[in-house]
Amino acid sequence: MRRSTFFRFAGPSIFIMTLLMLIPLIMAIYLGMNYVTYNNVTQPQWVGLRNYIEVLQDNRFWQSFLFTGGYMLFVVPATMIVGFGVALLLDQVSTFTRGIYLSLFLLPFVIVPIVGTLMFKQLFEPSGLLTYLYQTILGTKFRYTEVSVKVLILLYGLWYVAPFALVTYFAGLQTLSKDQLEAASIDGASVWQKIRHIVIPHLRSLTILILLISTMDAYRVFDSVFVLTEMNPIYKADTVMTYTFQTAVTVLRLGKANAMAILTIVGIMIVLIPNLIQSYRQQVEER
Amino acid sequence: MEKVKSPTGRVLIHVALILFSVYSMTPFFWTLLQSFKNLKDANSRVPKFIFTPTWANYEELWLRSLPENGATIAFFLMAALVILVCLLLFAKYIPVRNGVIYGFVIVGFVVLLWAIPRVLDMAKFYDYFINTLIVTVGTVTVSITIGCLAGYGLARYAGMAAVVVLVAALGFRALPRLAFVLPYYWIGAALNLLDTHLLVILTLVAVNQPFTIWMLRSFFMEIPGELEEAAMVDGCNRLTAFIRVIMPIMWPGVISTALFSLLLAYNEFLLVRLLTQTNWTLPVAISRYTGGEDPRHLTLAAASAVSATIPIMLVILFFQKNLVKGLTAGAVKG
Amino acid sequence: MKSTKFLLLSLLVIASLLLSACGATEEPAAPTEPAAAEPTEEAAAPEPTEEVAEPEVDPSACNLEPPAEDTEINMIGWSFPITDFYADELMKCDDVENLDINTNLLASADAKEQVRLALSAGGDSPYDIVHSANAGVAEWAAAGWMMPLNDLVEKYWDEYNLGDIPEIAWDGATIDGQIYGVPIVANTFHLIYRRDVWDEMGLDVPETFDDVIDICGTIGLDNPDWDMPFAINLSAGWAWEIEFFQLLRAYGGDYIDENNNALFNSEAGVKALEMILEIANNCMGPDGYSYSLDDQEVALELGTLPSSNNWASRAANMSDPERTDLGDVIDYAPAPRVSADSPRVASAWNDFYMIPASVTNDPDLIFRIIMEAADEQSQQEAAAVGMTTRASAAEYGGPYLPAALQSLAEGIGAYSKSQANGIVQAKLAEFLPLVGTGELTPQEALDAAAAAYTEEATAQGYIE
Repeated sequence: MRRSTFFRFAGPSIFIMTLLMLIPLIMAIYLGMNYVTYNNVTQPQWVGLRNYIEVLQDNRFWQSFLFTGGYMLFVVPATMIVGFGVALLLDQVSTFTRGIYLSLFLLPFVIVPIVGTLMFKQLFEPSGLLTYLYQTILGTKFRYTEVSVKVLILLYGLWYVAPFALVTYFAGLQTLSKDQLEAASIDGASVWQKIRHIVIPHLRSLTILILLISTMDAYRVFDSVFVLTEMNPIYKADTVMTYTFQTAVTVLRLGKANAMAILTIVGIMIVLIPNLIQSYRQQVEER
Repeated sequence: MEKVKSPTGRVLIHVALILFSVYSMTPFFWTLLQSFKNLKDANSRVPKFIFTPTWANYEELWLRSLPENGATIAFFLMAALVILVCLLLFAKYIPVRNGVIYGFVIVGFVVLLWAIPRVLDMAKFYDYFINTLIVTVGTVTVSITIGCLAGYGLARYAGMAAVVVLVAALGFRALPRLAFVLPYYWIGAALNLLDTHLLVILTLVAVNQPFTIWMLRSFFMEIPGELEEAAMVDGCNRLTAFIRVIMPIMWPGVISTALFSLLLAYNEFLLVRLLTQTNWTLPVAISRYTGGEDPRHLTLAAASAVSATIPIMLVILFFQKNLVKGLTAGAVKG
Repeated sequence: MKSTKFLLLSLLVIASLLLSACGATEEPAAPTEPAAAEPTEEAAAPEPTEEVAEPEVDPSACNLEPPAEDTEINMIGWSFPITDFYADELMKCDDVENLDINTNLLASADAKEQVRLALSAGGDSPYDIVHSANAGVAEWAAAGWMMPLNDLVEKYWDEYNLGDIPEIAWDGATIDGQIYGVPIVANTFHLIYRRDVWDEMGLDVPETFDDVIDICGTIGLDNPDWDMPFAINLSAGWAWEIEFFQLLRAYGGDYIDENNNALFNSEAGVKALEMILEIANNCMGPDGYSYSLDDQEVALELGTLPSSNNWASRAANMSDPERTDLGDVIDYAPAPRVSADSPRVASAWNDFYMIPASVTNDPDLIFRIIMEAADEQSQQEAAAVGMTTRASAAEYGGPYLPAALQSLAEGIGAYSKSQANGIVQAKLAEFLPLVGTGELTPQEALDAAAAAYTEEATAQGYIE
């Protein structure tokens, strides 16, 4: 294909991405260098790097960063393990039953996150089913504390993302080489050995893909935390996204919020840049 | 993997899968249950599974007032809906061209949606539902159109520009929405586009593009280049070859990608919340009930949650295979 | 795939038949009013558009001449029973020709954020009617975002009998003589308690909070019959701030002086926090810190909480048979004091309908729509679901009204209208809950909040 044809095809897409992603990003960096609140929205006040420094010195920012990190550290491995396990199980059943199970398993993934969190929360309200079970089984009342709210957020994260890992692994399992497995059986390998030595290596590139995507998504978690904590700082369960949001619309410091958003991007870039470089090299190779 | 043979093994497998299903579905079932309860039953500390169900929550959500001949109207609306769905499902068996049938069904749905507020006194929630439909359909249409073009270009062009675009897109995909939202607000205010569907659609399309073009590109790369080469030799230009030869084969992949665009547009909360003042979509409308300002909101929230989920559930039931295929698009490429 | 589609189709047919059948057996339910409202009022709810041409004035319909062109009116606000009622009243004007009314309701924090975002950018306001509470007056009117209504109020004073709304309610929306909002809802705190329970235990209605703590001792913190003996709202930062404000003023303190310097970290402030801690430790226990207003309301309604110092708006729900079967045994008393001669620990609140300064529609029309929703007829009906402002509506109020009115009259009054107040509230909301967790002592928390406030207020120019 000629270069001009490429630009004609990809033109609209590139145009809209530049206009509505690249430019706003630059604007955000610029806005981060201004002191902006709702009172002076049309005349921002230039303060240079002061907002950025203020964010870096903000304890709650680092607290939210830590919690986001903790969230990622739990949700990503947990979804991969659970997803892998259920995919293996799903592989064992007939095609028809598979279809039914898959429809049920996909539901958490397709539900509107706000709605899904709402549903999750209703289970733990004073009138909720799980509150009741918790009290009956464990004998103590279920209370919203720092710990319990965070646990709920993590459980929700698992519930919401597991289907993604599940389905991806499941598809990967379908492409396993039957010959390899048969050869292993003849050699007397047990199920566990087969899993360890054949299945897992085969799924390596998939695992990396799931790891990458769920890490990026986990970093940006917002909707569930927004609903489950009702933006109450007492639970100390802010993530970087919710704290940025709070800074913008509750504390009313728009400049600082922009600075925070930019610094958040810097944070994810640390994870992302190695991957971008690898992707770049891969693409160049494939050319 | 070959199947486990022992009966106990198979039973255990099903038990495990059923448990996981329970885990996946419990929030939804509990909310469904709560949505049919009156206030006292719903707030009861001991969960009630036996109670007198009521439609009151849904009525309050969707209708401003009940019409006298409500049952007749409901029946006719349901009948219309069933007829349209039948046409869609059994398009193969009707001796009319598929395109005509689909067109008719789409027009039928639009007429139905237009007619409902004129026969029933619908509440604001209906307007929010319509907004959601408009935004979703708009986003999917635009996103897929320009995404297909871009994905095709990226799949067939071997130069550096494509690499740059792809890697940049990957980078953009990782960026948090909040970084863009405030600048979007400024842009929207400057162009006087705030509170319009157009702004929301455009921003959603932009935010969605990286994912869309990566996915479509991987689908396009599965189709050999010889196909359109042959067509071009016959005298078509690139674009015509693309439309006539490639796209018909690509439909499954396009549908998969369209589903993801649909989910993204339907589920969007933050962008809609900050960029619109009155033309909200369902996720924002539902957030009215999450503030804990009235115990009655518990059942209304449940009803609104179920109302928002039913359409999506129908979508996955219909398109389950495509959704799975889409999720694994990256998988096969690795 | 064919069999799945067929299955789906049959499910759809069955579902639709069931739905239609169920729809037929339902009683036509009243939209939002509880059964306590008069039946004749309800029948008048959906009005046919022909009514507008009638020479008779039907008070329950919207009596406006249709505007010349298609006009769309947008209102933004939040949702609780009485404001929902008023939103529905506004919708009555939707039946008028050429008039299209949209009520956009969110949770309260979200609604306020929407207003800020929409009005701060300058340009035309997307909202014609803004529902706000006292804080909104201070913040938004002072920022110049709201329209002074003095001329309109004067013009329609007689037609809508605006003198019926007491001076003190108007005062809540007045800054420097400019009226910025129409008061439609009043609110305050007072005691809600189970008369049967207290009678049985021989308890008298408490006059001070020390009496309340005695009652808690009698009932017992670990009493298995109850969640806790008595509750106030400490479930969120803003909740702490409200309770603190009331107690602070009751002890004689205040938030800021005329120059916006912080006063709340005074001795009165420490006493207020110590009292909160005493109540929490003796009456609520650790559960108290996550016991939200909804939890308290439901607990009172379902019989697991015997008493609370709570909002009048919540008390209004106690008469709703859909919410509770205990309406007959729930009683009300004015809020307690902190000492025999202190004011009652009850702040004065109002909700208003305001008009943004940059509206594109005719303010006269908007004002008249508000008037239609806040007229005598509407407020009389509204009185069944909450506390209204008109004196003429008082007799239609619920059983809690005398206690509420007394609390208001003898209470600590409303927040000051300085714009800096918002910052005080935000900082207090941040630091006060840490007193509950034990991380900070009262003095430390107040000093930290004062420091944070001073810094922010100086940066925003409220302190020289």
